[in-house]
Amino acid sequence: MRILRSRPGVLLLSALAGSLASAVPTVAQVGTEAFAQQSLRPYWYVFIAYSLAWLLLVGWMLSIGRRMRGLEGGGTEDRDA
Amino acid sequence: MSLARIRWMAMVLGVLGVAGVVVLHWLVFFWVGTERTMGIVQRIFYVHVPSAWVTFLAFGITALCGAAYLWLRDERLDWAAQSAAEGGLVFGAIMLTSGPLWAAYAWGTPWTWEPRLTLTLLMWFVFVGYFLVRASAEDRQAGKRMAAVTGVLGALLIPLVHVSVLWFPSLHPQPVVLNVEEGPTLDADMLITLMIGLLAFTLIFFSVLFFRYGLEHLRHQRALETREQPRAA
Repeated sequence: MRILRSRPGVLLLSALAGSLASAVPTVAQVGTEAFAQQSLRPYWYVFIAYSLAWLLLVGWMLSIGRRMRGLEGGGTEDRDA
Repeated sequence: MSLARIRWMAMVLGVLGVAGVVVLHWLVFFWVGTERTMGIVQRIFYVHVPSAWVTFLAFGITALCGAAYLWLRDERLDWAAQSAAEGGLVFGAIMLTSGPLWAAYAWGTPWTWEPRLTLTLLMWFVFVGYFLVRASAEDRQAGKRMAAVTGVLGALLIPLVHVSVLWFPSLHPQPVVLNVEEGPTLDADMLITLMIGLLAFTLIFFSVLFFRYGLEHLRHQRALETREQPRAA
């Protein structure tokens, strides 16, 4: 659980929470009655697509930050991808 | 360009990009209309198309900087090419995951080996090869040159990917914005949302590209400080 309290963990959780929150107005836009009559499957696809996109981007940024901290901390090299 | 200036530019672009992303999410989930045939799942389009655009842009930058590096042998061009290639792989991964998620619902299958999908996947793997070539070469300078050639060859696939849906019509939708004959065929609200998405993703890409370039800059500085040859990949 330490990872969830770390800065990267908080960022990742925020990205996930943001994606989840973004699905709520979509449900509202469709309308409660219409929403109740249709499958939740497409909402899951949208949620997963947006979550994956932001997780990949946040992951890339964290990876750059980690490598940069490694160099600033006195290391001469940390092999990049 | 100093490291401080690179970081400042990255921060400015990052702030603008995040603002663009916030606006994009508001447009996608509050404003734009729901597409009649595909319904809610069509909203994946607003992350899939911008990520595809940025992937092509990134691989294009890799090729241009790689070609210029082969000619001028300026290390900064190699740093830029490498940084753009890394970004292209990330945005390419977004494109290659969001597309199948949409297809799983719209087509009933996440993947078919039709020309555009196959060529796009091939292009992505060519740029994976870009990093494998760098990492596997015993001589670092030779590795950089071979990677630059790989980048240039990989970018030749970009126009092929674009025209593949025109030359070999298949399941993948036809262009709805870069449509030479009819112009954009999207509804106005969808087109505006897409344009905001393209702008936001481009700003985010250039922001992280500058940070990534700064990493190579810093690596070079450290190598100079320790009187070693720079070992930037």
